Amino acid sequence: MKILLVDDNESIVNMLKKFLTIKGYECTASTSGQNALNVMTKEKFDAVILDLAMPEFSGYDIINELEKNGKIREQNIIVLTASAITTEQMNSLQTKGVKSCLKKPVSPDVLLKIISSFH
Amino acid sequence: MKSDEEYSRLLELSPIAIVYVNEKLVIQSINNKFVEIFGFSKNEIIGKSPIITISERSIKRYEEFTSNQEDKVIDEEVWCKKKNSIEFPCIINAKKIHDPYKKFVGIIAMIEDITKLYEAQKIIENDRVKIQESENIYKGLFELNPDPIRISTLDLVTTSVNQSFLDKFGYSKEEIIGRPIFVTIEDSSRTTIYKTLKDLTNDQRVENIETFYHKKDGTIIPVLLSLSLSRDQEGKPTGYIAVIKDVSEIYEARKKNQENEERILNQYLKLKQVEELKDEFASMISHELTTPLFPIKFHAEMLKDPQIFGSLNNEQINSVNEIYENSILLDKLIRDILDVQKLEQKKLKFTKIDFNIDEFMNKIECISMTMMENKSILFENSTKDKIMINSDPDRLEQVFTNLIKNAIDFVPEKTGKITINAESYDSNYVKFYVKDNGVGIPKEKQHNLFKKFYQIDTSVRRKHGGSGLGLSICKGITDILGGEIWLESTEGQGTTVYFTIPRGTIS
Repeated sequence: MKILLVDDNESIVNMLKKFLTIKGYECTASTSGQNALNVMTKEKFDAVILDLAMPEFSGYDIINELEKNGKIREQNIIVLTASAITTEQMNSLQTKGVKSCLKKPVSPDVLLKIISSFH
Repeated sequence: MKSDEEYSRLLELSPIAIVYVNEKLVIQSINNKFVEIFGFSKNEIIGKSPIITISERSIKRYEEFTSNQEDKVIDEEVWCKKKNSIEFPCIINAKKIHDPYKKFVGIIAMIEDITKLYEAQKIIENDRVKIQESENIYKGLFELNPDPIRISTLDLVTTSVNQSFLDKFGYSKEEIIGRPIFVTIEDSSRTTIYKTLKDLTNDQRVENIETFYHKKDGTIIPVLLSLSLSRDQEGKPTGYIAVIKDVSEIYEARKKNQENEERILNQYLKLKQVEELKDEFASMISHELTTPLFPIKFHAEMLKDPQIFGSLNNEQINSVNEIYENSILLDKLIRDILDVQKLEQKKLKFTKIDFNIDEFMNKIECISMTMMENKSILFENSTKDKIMINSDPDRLEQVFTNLIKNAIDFVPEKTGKITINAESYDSNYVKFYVKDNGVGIPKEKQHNLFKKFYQIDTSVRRKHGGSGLGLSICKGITDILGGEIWLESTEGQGTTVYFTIPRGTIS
């Protein structure tokens, strides 16, 4: 199962990559929004763990681009954000086609449970 | 003889009273006009002295005339007296008559009653006085008026100004009279004034036009201008009258007022900006603190799980647990700060739904169990009432978790007891409580507990963690939901925190 990790914080992508690799997933990491979008247009992933607040090209930008192309539902996007997002914002993201919204600091157990639901 | 008769007839027809007095100053004859004017019949007056027909105030003149030989003719105004004693003004033309030997033989006098003329003169004199008076009044009004006044021709050349005008604008009379009115008017006001003057119709008076004048030294004066036409006796316009009221003070006050309003508005906008910044700052802080917290907690959790990096020794496990516990506290603190901020700004979202309180209390019981982990606490949910209410269960849960967290922290380690309950209260409310058998709270400190960051002593924070925001958040939430929160506590015996919530309208 292939997972794309997108977060501008290198410490976080490395940590998630290590954890999910140990748990048996094939991980690709990206610390740039634009780069992540490029990767996603070329390759299909079983799940994308996506940070929202990133400089230049944010998680919202990626979601909007994918929504425009109509490809968002193919990607199983899991938003993982440190921002305090309201229920309304969460609902709006899910309407756009985001599968799940998690708030940092999420537990490894919870993250794993969500990912495994896409098997 | 015939000529004598004719002469007599002419005398009788004369429109002027005629009297003849002989050399002994006795009236010899009078004509009809005399009878008509004086009211004496011929019989009554002939043979009498003329004195009875002369007013007291003219007697002296009569005596002068009759006694002085040189004085031969008199033609002057004299006061006479009628039979009924009414005195009246006359013009008397009298002439002493002498015979060829120059012997005085009598006086012939013609008397013209000028009562009507005299009265007319008196009226004219009165009018003249009145006109003088009103002229003086107007002159006074003009000269002494505290507001500058200018009179100009229809061609807008100044013909007259009062003293106030000269004082106000600092010009001498010579610099103003005979010159165009615009000498003292600001360029910006010229068109307005010109148009207003040209549009003035006969009876119109235009008042309080806001315009600007200037002094000789260039100082600009805001004025309220009142304009009217001046007219001659036939009502034909001759020029303009301008009353110029200096409103510098009002203008200054208004300007100051406007400046004040602007300043207040600016301050308000700045404050609003600060409020927004504060809001932004809280969100930013929470985001920026959560970002590094996430890997700290996540790494600790990975280390705790032996299946990931293998087993640790006891010391290492203790150390990792400390990191983990503290990361949870930090996470809670960050979320509490954000909640307090939102509560203060009334931005915390509330979603009310219908729900059953006994089911809700069961859920709280489950959550409490996980919160107590492996502590040995006797936990009891004594809820019996089954009531449907309309409120926000997520926020109520937040209140409960805060209260239960406090209770767990303060109950004795092995004999701890916590009871939760919900029951009908005051028919329209539900009353909840969380009761513990902990250390209790001293009376004098109880009222401070719902304040932000208040903890009874700071050692508690070190021992139990907690942000000091929990009870403040509980109060904020119960306030917004329309309820109240309070506590009862006895030192050494325990604390009960009560809160009420309106049942709301079940849909």
